[in-house]
Amino acid sequence: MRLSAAVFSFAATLLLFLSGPSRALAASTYALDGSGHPGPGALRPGERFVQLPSGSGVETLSIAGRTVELNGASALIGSSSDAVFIAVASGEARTGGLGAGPGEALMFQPYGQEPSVVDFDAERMAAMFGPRPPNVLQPFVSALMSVADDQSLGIFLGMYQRSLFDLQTPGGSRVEGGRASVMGAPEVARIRYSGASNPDQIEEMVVARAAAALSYRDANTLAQLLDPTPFGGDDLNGGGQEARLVVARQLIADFSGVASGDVRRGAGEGVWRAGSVTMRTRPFSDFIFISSVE
Amino acid sequence: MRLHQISTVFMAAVTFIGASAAAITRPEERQSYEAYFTREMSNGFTLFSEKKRMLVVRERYGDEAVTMYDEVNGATGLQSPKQSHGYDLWNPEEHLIDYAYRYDYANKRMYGPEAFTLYFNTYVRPLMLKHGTGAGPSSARFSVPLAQMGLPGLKGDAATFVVSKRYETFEGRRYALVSFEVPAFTYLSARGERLVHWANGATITDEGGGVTYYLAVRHRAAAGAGKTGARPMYSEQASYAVDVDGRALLDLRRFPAGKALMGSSLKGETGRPDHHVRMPTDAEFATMMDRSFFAAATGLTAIGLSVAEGSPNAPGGTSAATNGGNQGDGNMVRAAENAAAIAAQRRKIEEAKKVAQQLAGYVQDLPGMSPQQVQQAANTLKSQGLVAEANNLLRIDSLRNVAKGAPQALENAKAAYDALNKTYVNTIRLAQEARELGNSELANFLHKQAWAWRTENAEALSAAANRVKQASETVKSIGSRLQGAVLDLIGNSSAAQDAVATAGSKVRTGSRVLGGLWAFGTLLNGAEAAENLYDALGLSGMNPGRNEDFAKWEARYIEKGGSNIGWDLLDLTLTGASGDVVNGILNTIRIPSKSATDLLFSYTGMKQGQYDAAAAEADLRLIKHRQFKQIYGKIKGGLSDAQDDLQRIEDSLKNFDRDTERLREYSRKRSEEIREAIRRQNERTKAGGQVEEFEEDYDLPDPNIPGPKYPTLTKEQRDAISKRAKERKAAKEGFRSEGDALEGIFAEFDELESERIRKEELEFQMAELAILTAARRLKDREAWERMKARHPDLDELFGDFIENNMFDYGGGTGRGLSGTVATDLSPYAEWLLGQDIDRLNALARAAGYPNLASALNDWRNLTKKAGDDKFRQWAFEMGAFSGTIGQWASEQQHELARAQVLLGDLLNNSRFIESTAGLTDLAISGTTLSTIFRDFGLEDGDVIEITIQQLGRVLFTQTLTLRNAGTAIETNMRRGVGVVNIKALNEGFASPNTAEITINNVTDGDSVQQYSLRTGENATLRVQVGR
Repeated sequence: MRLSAAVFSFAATLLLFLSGPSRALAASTYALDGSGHPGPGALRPGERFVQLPSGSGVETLSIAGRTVELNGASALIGSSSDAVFIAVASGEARTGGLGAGPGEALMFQPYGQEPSVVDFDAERMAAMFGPRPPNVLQPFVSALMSVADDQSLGIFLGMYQRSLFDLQTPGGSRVEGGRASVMGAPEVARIRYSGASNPDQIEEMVVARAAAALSYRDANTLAQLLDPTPFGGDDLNGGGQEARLVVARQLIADFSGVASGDVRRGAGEGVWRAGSVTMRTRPFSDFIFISSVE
Repeated sequence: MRLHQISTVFMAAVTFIGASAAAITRPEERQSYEAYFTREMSNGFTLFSEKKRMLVVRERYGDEAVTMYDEVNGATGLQSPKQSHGYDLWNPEEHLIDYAYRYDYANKRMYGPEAFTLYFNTYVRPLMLKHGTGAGPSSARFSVPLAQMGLPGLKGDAATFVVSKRYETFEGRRYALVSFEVPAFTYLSARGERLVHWANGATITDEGGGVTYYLAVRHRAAAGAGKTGARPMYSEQASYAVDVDGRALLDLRRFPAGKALMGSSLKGETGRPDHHVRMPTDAEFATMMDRSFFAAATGLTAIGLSVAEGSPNAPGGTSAATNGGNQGDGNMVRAAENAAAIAAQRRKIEEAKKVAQQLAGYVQDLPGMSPQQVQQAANTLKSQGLVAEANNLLRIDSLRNVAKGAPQALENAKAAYDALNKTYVNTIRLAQEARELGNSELANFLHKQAWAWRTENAEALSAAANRVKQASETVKSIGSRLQGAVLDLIGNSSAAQDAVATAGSKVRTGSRVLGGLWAFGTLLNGAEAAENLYDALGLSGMNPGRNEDFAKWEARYIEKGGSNIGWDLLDLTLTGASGDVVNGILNTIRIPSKSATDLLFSYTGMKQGQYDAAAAEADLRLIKHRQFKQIYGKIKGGLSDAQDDLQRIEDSLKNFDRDTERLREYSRKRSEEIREAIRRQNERTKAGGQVEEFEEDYDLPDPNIPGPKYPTLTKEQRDAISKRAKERKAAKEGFRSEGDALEGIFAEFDELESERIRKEELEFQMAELAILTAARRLKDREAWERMKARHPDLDELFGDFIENNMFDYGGGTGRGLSGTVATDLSPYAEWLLGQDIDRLNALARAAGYPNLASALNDWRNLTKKAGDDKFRQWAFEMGAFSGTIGQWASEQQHELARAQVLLGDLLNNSRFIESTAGLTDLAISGTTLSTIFRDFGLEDGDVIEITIQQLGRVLFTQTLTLRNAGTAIETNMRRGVGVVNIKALNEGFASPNTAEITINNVTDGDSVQQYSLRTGENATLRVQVGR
């Protein structure tokens, strides 16, 4: 279940934003994969942590622009390039009118889509923690096993059927690793999970962010918004990411002096002006990137 | 610098093991293996790819190592292409370059064709000396300005290299794990385009670097990135070493460290050009021709791998073999001498080849040659010094003239017998008619008259029958003498046979000598000589097979089942191609020649004569029987003085009665066969010819009448050929481990020829299948229409899935596949009803088809692949390593092949079954298959094995002795296609194994069917259940 850290080495931060009583949160979370505590809310794609109930209060999180209430819940919270999920082992997670109980997960998808509730396979999730989980996680794993017992009857009766779908690596680890290198980039994730769903609005956000990065000589941000096609397209691992950064630096060297953070649409589809710089956009997968700066 | 050569030679490594520089004539190390190599290059618009197999042989002599590459193109092929994947056919026209390089460990220089050595010695060597990892584990990081990499015309950053080498032990052996990385750097190409270039590479070799087990290198570049028209470029190559069976020498699945290393060099995607399909503009086209990136990739690879490994990561070089450069020792002189000797032998082979072809040509043309032409041919042979052959040719012609009269004499004798016997025959017919009309009194009278006549004329009839028999013997005798003469002409022609055998043997010996030398070019000469030997023998051997008339004769003879000659022809043709070349092919020349004479002189005449003689003999026995009965009556009447005669006659009658029943059965069967054969022959040869009727009640003589004495191969001869074939196979299997290249060449050619024959057969079968399929499609379409009429709910069940099996390729991205694919599943609708469609769909997609319809449309290929052992083996092998590089290396390719095999298995086991051996497809209502198997002929102890299968499961199996009364078998089946397999376990005492199958509830097809099988043969009946 563990994804290679290298897979995400170029995918930066902040796919998930947690807010609320940081005291309670810090005391009741356990990060997996040795990545340490997620701090005040940062979660990289592929990383996961277990949320444990602390005391008797209701804790709140903010995910993809939505508030989630955790009511005495123990849950595994994780993300992939295309979803953030809260898989509940005990208690309840609730957002809006939607609630997820034991064996259910709240799933949040980009572009302001409505969250949904899905069932997850508790036995497989429990297996992830191995035969001897850390003491602090024992209650959580026990809760999962209890859910698994209930689900086993459902499986026997034909109510459930096991699938190969993995919330954390939809499409398989290789595909997810590649997609995370493109869509998991912090700037891309920030825009995708901003709640915006209008394509024009998203395009403008991309161009504005790229123009600002160009003006402020922020090569990392600019690189993340450059069209991945010339660098390998679906998967930028293996050097494509660095090559994109090299190009971003060149563009900054060439244009930072003449670029402006104010952007406006130019003549033609996908053509934008930022000061005296012309930027063009190009759709790639479900997002839109900067294809040229001239 | 030639890119092709350079990239090709990045395949092997050389060791660091030092040794004295003194002249060493025997290698201290030797490795030989085959490398599967693939390469893809893309300039962002167009994908170029190649895949090839290369033989790698490396030898180290003291401080020097020689590494030789052969691209296995037929010139010196050490492994038959079919051994690899089964679908890769030999292409003799393809003669690519072979390479040989020498590497001097003392001064770390390469020698050989400058295409690579110049670059290595000038640019790579200094970097290797400065940064090289040496013999132990090491790593280094260094930068090299483009100018120091020999890449003129490129302007830009220095490239940084991160190289490493470490060792891992796996299953008791140490391996060197070598890698390099070039992080992204920028330069302007020769045409001024900005490229951001980055690369990874890795290789696994043995500890000393003698064998390159795996190698993968990937270069990528973003061309014009940040500008309009930016595109990805890449160059990637990979190879892995395989053994004689095509299996990877090193199994990465069980070697995690190695697998991780190779996987690390393949991370990320390349941005293949199918993502950017559009025609380039003129400006882009000009840029496409800029090879700066590829040249840089080549140079970076050479530096990265060589420095990481501390050796050239390319073969040591000697130009001696391939271009006559520096040789340096006496080996080349000896090689040249041997080559000259072989050339002389080749000339002899050429002569022998001509003679063999000339003689074979005469034999084939003889029937149409005038006496003058024959004499002219003999004179030609004499003028060539082939006196014995000339005399034999004249002898054949003389015998031919004698033989010409023999069939006519036989005809005359038959006519005389018939004329004599006419009175009897007519009287008997009248008697039969009278009996049929109910006038038994008249019938008996006529019978008596007839027999009285025969008794009176017994002597004359006997004489006439004997004349028929003698004439028949003459035909046989002449045929036999002709065969002997033809054998003498070709088979015993010293010019044709001895020269070939002797010269072939010398070529072989010479080639072995050359194989021991390190001069690769001469090795090629030897191989060429061997190829010519093959031509000399194979061509003349195959000529009869190409002769249309001959082929017809052969087919006809087999069809008639008249003798084993037809099978001899096939057998020997195959034996000649797969066993010992020299003798096998010579045998192939002989047999067609004598068989031709057989067919000319023996078929119609001999068969007819045999029958007539037998019929006459039977007549005589009947006459004698009648005489005995008369005498017996007299004796019974009181002639006591004939007591001794009585005893003798009674004994005779007892014997006669005992044989009567058996003879009668045999007679009936034989007469049917012979009459049918003659009828067909007459129909073909005489337009409107009448078939002569024979009396049903005739008894034929003892069934053990000796057949014609054809001088076919004896068992000893067959065994000898088989033994030679086995020896050849054993030698071939042994050569890999001993590295003796030439030892395998002859076996190689044999196999190639066998492959060619197989291919022709396959083509023929495919043509037949095409016809059958067209018919079936029509039938399927009709069945589908009928089905739709019967099942109005079908649309509800499947929607338009069946008739419009469209697909979504590209996931709505707009990058759809262009072209036409099959979308109509209706021909398969009935079958699909009994199938798990989801699984089929998934398998079809996994097997690389856009939809199920196109997969089923390609069922021939799928079932063929599933039946191809080599393909199956490959499919279930490991992938070389994970990743998408190459066409064969990735696990995905193996998964694809696995899906194809699984789908093929499914199809093989269900719908795509053809009825065979005379049985025809049928359909039954309901799901109970109710059959009766019976022997419709003589109950002679035929035993069969019946197996009934459906959807890959065996539902019923039984061994059954066939009875006239029949045996009923009932099997419960599912809807869908089932198959009844019948295997003949014997032929009873009256060959062949025949049976009649009666099937109940048949809604389409014949409910009563018959088959006829030889021992070991199978018949298949396809049953559509529940239609």
